Amino acid sequence: MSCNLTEKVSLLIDGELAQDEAEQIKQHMASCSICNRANEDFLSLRQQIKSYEFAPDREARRQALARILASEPVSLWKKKLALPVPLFAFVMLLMMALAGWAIFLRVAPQPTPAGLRPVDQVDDAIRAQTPQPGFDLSRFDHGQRAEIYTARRTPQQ
Amino acid sequence: MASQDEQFTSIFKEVYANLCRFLECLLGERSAAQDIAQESFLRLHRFGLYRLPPDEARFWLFRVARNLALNEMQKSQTRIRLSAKAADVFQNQAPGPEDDFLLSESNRVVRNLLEHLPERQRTALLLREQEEMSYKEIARVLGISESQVKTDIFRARRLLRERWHELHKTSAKLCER
Repeated sequence: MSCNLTEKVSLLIDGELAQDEAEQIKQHMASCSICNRANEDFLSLRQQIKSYEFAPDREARRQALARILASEPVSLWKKKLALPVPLFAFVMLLMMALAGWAIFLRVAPQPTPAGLRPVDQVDDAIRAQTPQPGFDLSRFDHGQRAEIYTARRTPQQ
Repeated sequence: MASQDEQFTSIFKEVYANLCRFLECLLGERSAAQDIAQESFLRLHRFGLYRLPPDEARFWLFRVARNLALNEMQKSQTRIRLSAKAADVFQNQAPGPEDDFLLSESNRVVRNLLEHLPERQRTALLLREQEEMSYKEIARVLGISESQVKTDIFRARRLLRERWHELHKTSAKLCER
């Protein structure tokens, strides 16, 4: 035995129905024994749950309050930061990618800047035209890995 | 600072007993209920009452207490599983004699009825019947929609009613014998 409007009875006793609808349900309950009985049972159960007794010990309650008030509030900067796992993973990946990029930049060979050529490729004519460079780095070349570049400079008037 | 403490004290006096009752009905255990209620208030104090909008503290406390109670339920379920493996004696988490003695008959009936409800339905119904919160307020505490609250409360009432009738039938049979 069931009635489609029993759910509305539950809403009625909670005061969650509009006035018009509440009136309709009340009229329905007058003629529907199922809803009428449900209403009585719901109200009876409400009374039982509401009358659940709980009287905390006064002394224990006083002590609990004193203990809580004695505790120091945690400052904002001392609070633990809790990041959601996906965000934390994203931040970690981003940091790893940045670290990888930084290492790559240090290790990878630098491209020759435009207008510059290695020393051994500079022809003698140009070398002759070039005035004495301000910085002669060839003394640092011990035949190992260093490459010396010379800059083409316009002769000063 | 003094006025903040006074404000906190007044909220403690107003809400503590109700929060304990709610948690006891939710967990079925008095000592755990008091521990969680105190932990909830401690968190509120550490968080700072002044950071919450007026009238929000009560809902905040119930929300935090419910989350802590959920953690406690998970822990106790794990404990039950582990102890069930260790010994059959601990399989049923029957209340201790002291707890049983303290419980009045009407409280025992309510606990017996409520323990068969799913957690969310039980919480929604308790907030409605004991705390007289509206569906909107319950939805805020539980973090669900109002329509879900409506469904949960109705289902809880229907299940509770069925269980109640079963208990009546059982007790009537026992009286006939």
